[in-house]
Amino acid sequence: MMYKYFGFFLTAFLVIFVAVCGWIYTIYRQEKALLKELKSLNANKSELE
Amino acid sequence: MVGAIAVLWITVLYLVLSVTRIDPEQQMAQKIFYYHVPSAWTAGVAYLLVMIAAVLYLMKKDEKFDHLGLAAAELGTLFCALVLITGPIWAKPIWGAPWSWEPRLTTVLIMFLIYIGYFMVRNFGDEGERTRRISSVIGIAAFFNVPIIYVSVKFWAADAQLHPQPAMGQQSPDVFWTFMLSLLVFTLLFVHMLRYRVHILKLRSKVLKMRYDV
Repeated sequence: MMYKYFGFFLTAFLVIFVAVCGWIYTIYRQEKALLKELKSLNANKSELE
Repeated sequence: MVGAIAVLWITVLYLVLSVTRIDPEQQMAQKIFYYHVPSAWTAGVAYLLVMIAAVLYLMKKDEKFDHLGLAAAELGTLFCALVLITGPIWAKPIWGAPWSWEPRLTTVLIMFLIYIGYFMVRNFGDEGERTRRISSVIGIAAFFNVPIIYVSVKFWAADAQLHPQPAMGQQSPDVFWTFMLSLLVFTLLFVHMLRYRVHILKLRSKVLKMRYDV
């Protein structure tokens, strides 16, 4: 049985779910970019030495 | 930890949809409460951590406390934004309007705007000591709004209130324990997100130092 205002509940739930997953995905992308840069900086440092 | 949080998240959703009672007036809109209140709780815990980290940073000048404060401020603001979005979604069918300038909503909005100021200082300032000190002071000052938000439903006159009064003690066990489990899930999620963000901030700091060295 579908109760009244189900759409409001679903919207609120999805807003929270998408915001949390979106945040984690953004931080994951940042981590990947930083690790890539760290690797290249380490390589440059080794070349200079 | 991620797996455990995912399982608990699905369990809470199951309990919310299938076990907890349906409010005869608010129907499904009332179930937003299981996500709206834990979001507010998480934001409050995050802002408490910002204040503690800010005090420790000002005392010890250790970068790790600045990272902790910044990560907690970001997460507090994320969850505060979720409170400000899910609240109006609930209010639209129940109050007939998504927003009302009543005490709790207004104080939460003020909190959110103070933290917008905090991030403006962080982003427009440099990476140096001065920016960290100013943002730490904002983090400490901003926390004084958290107890005001908490007592706002009792502090102002009853005719100025629209927000429901806290009454968890009077709830049936299905409502009470589902709510408690939801609080636990949000707290664990916050701890996980905080640790991840602090790790990224440390990594960023390391990259910035290496850029300078190379």
